[in-house]
Amino acid sequence: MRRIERWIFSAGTPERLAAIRIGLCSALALRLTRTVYLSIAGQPHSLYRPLSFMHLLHSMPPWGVVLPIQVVGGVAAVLAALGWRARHTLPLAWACGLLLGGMTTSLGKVVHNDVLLLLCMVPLLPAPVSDAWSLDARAGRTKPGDPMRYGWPVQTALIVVAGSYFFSGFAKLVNSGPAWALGSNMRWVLYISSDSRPSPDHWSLFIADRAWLAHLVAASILLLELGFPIVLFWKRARPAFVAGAILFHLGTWLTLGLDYWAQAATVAIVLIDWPALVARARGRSNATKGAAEARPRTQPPDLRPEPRAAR
Amino acid sequence: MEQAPAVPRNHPPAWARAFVAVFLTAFVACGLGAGELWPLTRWHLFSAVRQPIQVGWRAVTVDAAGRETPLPVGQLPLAYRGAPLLVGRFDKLTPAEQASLCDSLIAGVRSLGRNVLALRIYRVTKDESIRVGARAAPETVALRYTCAHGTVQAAGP
Repeated sequence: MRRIERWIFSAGTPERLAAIRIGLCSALALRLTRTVYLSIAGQPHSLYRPLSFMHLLHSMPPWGVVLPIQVVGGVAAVLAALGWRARHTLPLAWACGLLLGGMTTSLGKVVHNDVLLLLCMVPLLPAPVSDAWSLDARAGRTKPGDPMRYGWPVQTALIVVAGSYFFSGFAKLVNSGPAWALGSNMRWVLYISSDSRPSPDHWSLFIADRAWLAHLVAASILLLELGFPIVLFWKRARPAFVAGAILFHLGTWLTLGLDYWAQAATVAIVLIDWPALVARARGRSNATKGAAEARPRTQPPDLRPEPRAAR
Repeated sequence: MEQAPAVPRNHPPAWARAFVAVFLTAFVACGLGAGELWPLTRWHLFSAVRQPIQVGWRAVTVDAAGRETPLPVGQLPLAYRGAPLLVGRFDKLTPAEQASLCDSLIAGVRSLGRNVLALRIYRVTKDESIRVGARAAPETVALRYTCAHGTVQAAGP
């Protein structure tokens, strides 16, 4: 337990935290541009199926309430991404996103599309997110200092990402056992999805018609989900898991029509060490520039004849 | 665990420790199935094994001439997106909730300018393992409820 605590509360850099702030707030801003919230505003009361904190509301909020929340949330998310008064704009954007997300999950089915994004933003709410790469830092409104302040929000977000996939796999094992991958479950999932569409879905049928492929896909999903906590122990495995998650959500979109881009983006934003990537790219670029500058000195002398002067 | 990037100079504030402890405890407890406190969730994503025999529900509208038309969920406002799910739980609703749901659906279809006299709810059984080309074999349907004039009448067992 001490080891876990030491890992969570290890030192970090303001740049890594800022990269996560920029990424997650940008993703939230994009999510808040969707028209679905206004479409479900003022829904007939008998169709309202509240979940969690939405029980506090008697029915779906009306259009006149949803529109200002969406506008304020969207603007706050953009400002938080830019790092303008981020200690206030980020929690405001998150609260608006939470309420609007709560609306979409109160239609009779638990909606998970934005859950990981919202949960990964939780550790950022009280964190010094704008000490780097922000308008706040440019304006001198921040006091960068102790590296201990920047590590725990990032490490907590990492645990949330790893946990979300692990618990998805865990729920499959608990509710269905190995039959989830070893039985024909994946074939039926894909056939049901294809049959529910106006025209058959060829991606789904391609997999469902081949039992071995359906087993392989199911086993790969289970392996990816249950193996995700590896990213906490082995930093080098992170790019592979990011690629796996993107591929997984792309496949889900192609076969089941489920749009989980926000979750895939959250995985990439949290798992990739963007400042290190930028530094490496700059280093490579500087090295290339340096090599280009050094080249004339090392190149052999040009022995070609001088071009003739124009007559 | 990976190595800490630098030797810590100070301890993080106590409030940060408490915040992380409460948040992660709730996250893990919900993840292990303790409850659905959205956005803290149990992560039940396609976790139940699907069977080839699919039993579902379908709502159709009935016009003055007695003609049946499938509930046009795709043409209804997005607020009705969850309607098929609610129809699927019709059995579990109280009579008052059933009547209220029927009224809302009928009103929604009428708002599209369609003539609706009643709503019928069928129990649909489909076997996904029997394929006819790219589709499942034809389904069997049985009438279970008829909603009209604010009342719900059960039909069959």
